[in-house]
Amino acid sequence: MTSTHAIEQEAPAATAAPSPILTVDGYSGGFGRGEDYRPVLHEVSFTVARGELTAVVGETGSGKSLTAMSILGIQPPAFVRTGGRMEFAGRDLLGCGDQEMRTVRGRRISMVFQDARAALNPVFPVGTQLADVAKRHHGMSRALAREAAVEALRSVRIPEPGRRARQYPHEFSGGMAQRVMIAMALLCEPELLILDEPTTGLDVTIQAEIMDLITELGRSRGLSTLLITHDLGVVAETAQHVVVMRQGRVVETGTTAGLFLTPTDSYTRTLLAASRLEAKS
Amino acid sequence: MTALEPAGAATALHYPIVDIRGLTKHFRVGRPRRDLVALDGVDLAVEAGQTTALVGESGSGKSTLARCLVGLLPVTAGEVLLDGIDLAGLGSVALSRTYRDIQMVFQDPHSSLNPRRSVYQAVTEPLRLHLGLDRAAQRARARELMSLVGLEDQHLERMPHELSGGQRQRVGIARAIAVGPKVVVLDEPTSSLDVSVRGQILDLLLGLQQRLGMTYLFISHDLQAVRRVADRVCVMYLGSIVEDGPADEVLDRPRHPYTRALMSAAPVAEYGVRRERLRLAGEIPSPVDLPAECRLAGRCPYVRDSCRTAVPPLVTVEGTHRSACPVPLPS
Amino acid sequence: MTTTVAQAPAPAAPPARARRRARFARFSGPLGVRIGLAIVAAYLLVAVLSWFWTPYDPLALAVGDPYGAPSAAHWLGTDRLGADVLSRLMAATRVNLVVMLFAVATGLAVGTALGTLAGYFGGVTDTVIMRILEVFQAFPTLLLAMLVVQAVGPGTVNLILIMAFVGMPPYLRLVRAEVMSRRSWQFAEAARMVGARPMRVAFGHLLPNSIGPVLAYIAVNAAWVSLLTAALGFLGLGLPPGTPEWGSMVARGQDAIMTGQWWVSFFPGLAIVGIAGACYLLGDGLADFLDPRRSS
Repeated sequence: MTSTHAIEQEAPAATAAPSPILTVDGYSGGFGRGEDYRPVLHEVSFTVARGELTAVVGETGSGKSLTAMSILGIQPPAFVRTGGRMEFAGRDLLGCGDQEMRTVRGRRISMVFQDARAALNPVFPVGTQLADVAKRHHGMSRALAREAAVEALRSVRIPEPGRRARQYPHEFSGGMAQRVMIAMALLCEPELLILDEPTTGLDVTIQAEIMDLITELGRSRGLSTLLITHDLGVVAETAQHVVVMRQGRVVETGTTAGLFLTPTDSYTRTLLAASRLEAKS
Repeated sequence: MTALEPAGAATALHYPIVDIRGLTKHFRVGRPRRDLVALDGVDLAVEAGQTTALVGESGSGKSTLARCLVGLLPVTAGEVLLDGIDLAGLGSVALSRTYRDIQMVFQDPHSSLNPRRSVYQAVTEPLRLHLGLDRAAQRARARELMSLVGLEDQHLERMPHELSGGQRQRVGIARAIAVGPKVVVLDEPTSSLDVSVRGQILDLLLGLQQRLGMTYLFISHDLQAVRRVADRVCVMYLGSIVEDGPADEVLDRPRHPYTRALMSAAPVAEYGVRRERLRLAGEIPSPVDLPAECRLAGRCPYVRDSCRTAVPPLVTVEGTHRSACPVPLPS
Repeated sequence: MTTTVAQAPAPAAPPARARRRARFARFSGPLGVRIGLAIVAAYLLVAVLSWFWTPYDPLALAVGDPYGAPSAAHWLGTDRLGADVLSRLMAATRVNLVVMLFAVATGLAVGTALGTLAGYFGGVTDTVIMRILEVFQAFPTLLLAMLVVQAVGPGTVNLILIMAFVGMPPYLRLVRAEVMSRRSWQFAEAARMVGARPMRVAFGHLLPNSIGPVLAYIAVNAAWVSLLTAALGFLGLGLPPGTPEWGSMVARGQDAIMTGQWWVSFFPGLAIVGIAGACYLLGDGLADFLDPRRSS
């Protein structure tokens, strides 16, 4: 990529829609080498628009999580990329070195995983872990970072944030722990937030509140979000764009309205039908 | 098919084949020891030949109820009657004999099959231990079971890790129905499966029920699945039943604030369906040292002073539809 | 009702015999395991051979000169009493292997059984078993073994029982922990409902799924038993005096090392190192071999 091209990227043309924050283009790869090579991703392509929520939907083995991890460069070491590119805000993600990747990861792209309690360190209070992130990313003093941590808990609507900040992860329910993870992700003020099955395993009432929170944060902060999920119900309520994956391929992409009202791919239709069960006659 | 056919014409009659009365389960937790109330005097009648769904979130006590019902957990107080026999008082030998009448399909098809036993061994063990069938009869029944649950004979030789999640759950179902039970407890049978497999398993269960006339107790937090299979729905919250009634009535015209909150939170895979959300404050409280008031009092938007004086009992709303909320809610 | 399954068919399952063969091929695959197998096979061969034939009578004294260096007549030399080192070494291999095999088998059986009981039933059963175990484990192993040997007197059967007894606790602890962690697995509950009595659930379902790490530990235990037997033999304990045994052979030659007659102690020492090393090499491969889930 030439430097002139990069400059063009930073000043998007007024005529067209703003450039997507993330472009995944023809991303392919698999596990194993030589005769044992087993492809798992086939030409995966999609974009995440700025300020919108894009959902990647798929079942077990669709490759949706692997794709998400590849964006941050945290795919399993055995995964071999065979082609394609990923571009984040005009920057080639696959070409950049480890050092550069580290500055992108966390600072500009944050990720929230399914099992929030496993992602928190059990021996430190939650507030300390949040404050560490604030210190690392913004170079804050200890006292300021502490305040930022409490503020972050407040922003994800955790009641009594001051008291909760002194508590340990095991004192948080699954839903509350997931809020903490979102707070931690947002502390870095990322441009892109990746949520990998953030509500799987949570009760429906908790799930609804977490998804409300995500939608609202996205709106108020103009956050671009990539949501990885298997639940079309969650997608219908929160996403603007949908990418449907099956066995390592993107089978359909489109706006949420288009996909739900006029699905074109047969697998999408199967998935939709399976998500809407009839009542017992 | 012989023993797999329904037992006489019993299925045509309407009578509670399972009758749970005042079922209470406490766990001793923490130091100093305190009582965690997992089930708080639950009454539940399961009609023969029907599917009764038990709905609730984690901590509601629905899985504890299932385990108490089949004797995997000892009960603290109350009766669990299966065809008039109290299972709660049985010793292990007599209890083992009742497993010819009541069986369970477990939630996680990964851990419910012994990883060292083939499918054949898994489905024939109950035939050997409960029915004492000889080898030839076992093999014939195993084949029959495979076709009943939509698998093929060749699957009998497989090990669990060679099967997909849906196939494993089919094996779990085959094992449960092997001895021709009257009642099958289904403990979240689809919650760890993909959506496209969920429908297949639910249809399989419905088909088997029609064919063999079994009674199901279907435990789930998945309201879609419940709507698909249930005749009756019981909603549990914090160890108590807060609403029960015919499935369509409870699901379409929920009466209790908790049921409404649950229904309104469940995502629907339709575009542009905006639901009126009923939000409950905070999270489900710890079931230790519960005060004598409505369990939902601390979270309910419709709470009144009268809710805090006693635990409200289930009262009839209409027909067999009952709710444990005396406050008139906006419809 | 539909009987077709709209799921991707699982890969064709190999018949059980082919599966076992494939597992064995993998077990014998790594170089370390193959070396370990070869060494153990050689020891067994020598042990069996010593039953029928040794160059000289291993118990006979003065079949050659005292401290005779290795020669055509005495391949590994002779010791202080003029006994043939090779003959004694061959007989000692038989004695040591018998002690090792039976001690390991007994310790494994008793430890596994008690561990399964403690792990599955918990409560009082567990408390009683574990407290008794802790009392014995409070003594240093070698000291405990020495005390018991002194108490019951020398003899092969006594030695085997003592080795099994002091080697049993790790089996018990490993099995107990594994069974406990799997007790709440749904297949244990499912087995109850299938009609299995508690003992059958514990020994028929939970134990086979908990035995993997235990069997891998066998190799470590076998090496340890060999070393401890030799240590006792070196101290002149365990077997009747004069019985060919690696440890006592090393002891018989220890004075001569300083004066240059290295062969008296060196060859039995090498035998001890060899069997311990082979056991450790086998240990790694064994863990893989015993896990059915690793076969795909």
